[in-house]
Amino acid sequence: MKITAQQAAEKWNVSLRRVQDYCKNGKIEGAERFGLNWMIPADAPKPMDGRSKAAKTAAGSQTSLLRKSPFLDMTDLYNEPGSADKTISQLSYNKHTQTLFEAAVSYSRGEIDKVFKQAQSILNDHSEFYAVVSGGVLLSLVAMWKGDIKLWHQARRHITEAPCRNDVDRDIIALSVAAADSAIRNTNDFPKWFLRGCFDNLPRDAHPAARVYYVKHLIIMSQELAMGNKQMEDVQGFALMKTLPFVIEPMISQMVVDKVILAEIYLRLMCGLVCHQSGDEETAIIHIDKAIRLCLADGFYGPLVEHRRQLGTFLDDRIALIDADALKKVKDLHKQLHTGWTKLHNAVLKKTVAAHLSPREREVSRLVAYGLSDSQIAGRLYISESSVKAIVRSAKNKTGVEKRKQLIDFI
Amino acid sequence: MTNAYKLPKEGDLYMVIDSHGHTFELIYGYYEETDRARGEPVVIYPDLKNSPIFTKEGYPLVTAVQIPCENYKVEQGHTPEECCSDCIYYSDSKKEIDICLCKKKRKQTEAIETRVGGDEE
Repeated sequence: MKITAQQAAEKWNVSLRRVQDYCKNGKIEGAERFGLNWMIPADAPKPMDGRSKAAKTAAGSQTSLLRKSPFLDMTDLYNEPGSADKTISQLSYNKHTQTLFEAAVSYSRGEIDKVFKQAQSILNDHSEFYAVVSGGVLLSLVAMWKGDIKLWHQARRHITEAPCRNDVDRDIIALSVAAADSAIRNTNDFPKWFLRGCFDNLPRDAHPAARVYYVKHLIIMSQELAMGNKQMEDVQGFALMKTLPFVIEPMISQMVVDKVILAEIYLRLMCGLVCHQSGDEETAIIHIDKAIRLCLADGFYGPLVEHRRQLGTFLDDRIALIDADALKKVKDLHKQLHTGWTKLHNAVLKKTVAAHLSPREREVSRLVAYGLSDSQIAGRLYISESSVKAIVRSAKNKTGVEKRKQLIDFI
Repeated sequence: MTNAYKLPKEGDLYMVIDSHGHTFELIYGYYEETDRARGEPVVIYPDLKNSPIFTKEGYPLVTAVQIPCENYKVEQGHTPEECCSDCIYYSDSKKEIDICLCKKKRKQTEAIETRVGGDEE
């Protein structure tokens, strides 16, 4: 038998908001989300208050990282604009979670050297799946800003060699690598199941970050269609772009209700981008201005910097209207990111072009790098196992690698 | 990002291999008809499992991508790659077609039988 979050709040004599936080943080076993409501097992015990001494003792140093999202950037821990530093200190009961959230905040502020140290610390101190994947993702972001191709490959290897336990973990690896790749090559290499908009494979509390990546994928696809780089029957790029706000705006509303500020920022910036590119300046301004205000509340220049390349002077003008000093900071950080991004993009492009892997070889190589067997790859791609073996052999011959896992460096 | 690689067509030659007195042409094609609908052609290796070819010494020729037999063994510490080419009995893993040196797979030939007969005498 299940009860609502409101009923649990009354039973435990705590606020509804606290019960919702417990549910989101995975502290109530068996809690499930149905639309906007949480349903909790009637016999679930009241979680300990994390601030209490008893909870701290119970947590200990070996507590596994909280599963906020498969990317473990902890974005949904940040619920109030201006509260990032306060949230960091509130997480002191769990050092691991605190480090990870701090890294997400540092990245959002463009403090890349700090992110590098934090990522190293996570990877040195932890070997569990989520920690390794999130450490790898953070390192890949650092590599992008610094234009460091060795670090980039190292980061991707961390992600692909994270200790998988099941197919869900493998799917998370696939998505993490595709998301990292899209940041530097703007290609639409998200896994097939993701392209179908299927979130079933992700944990329920993964939705904020997963939605951000899904929208990113849709935008890349519409831009590729609009530029003629891709073709889809009966679909035109600009037409698709015009419909994207109808997909994104409900997600933004959801983030507002759930108070997931960072996801809201990214979704608003992306929605503003598609509105601007398809000519709807009025709606673009609404979303961009809101995103800017949310960013500046905690000095989160990073999301603005990431979108400056595509939004250009439109974004500059909006920032200048709100905070002229912030514009200077964004421009300086953007120069750093652009230099690093260009260097890394060209280095990766040079290596991948030199290998001359065909699209199918790249696709199979990626699945090989994720640890799938030939029969599993054959099942995923609906081709024969003999074909998979021939493709892997061809890719190894072209790249000169001896081991199949080394193919990850060429895709 | 553009890729300058030009996709091969079905029937294009991949490579000609000479292995232990036998010549093979590796051509692009499809292993199964259902593969055709899924995309680009792949290199088709001869089916040496169902149509075996042996050297004079009785060793079977195998392809690098052949699904390994029950005697498949990899070097200690190496991750299995599920192909004959990474088995310890495959003569040279860099070659597309080579011989399998596994004693259990070796075919008894007249030369060997004569030697055995000679010993008995």
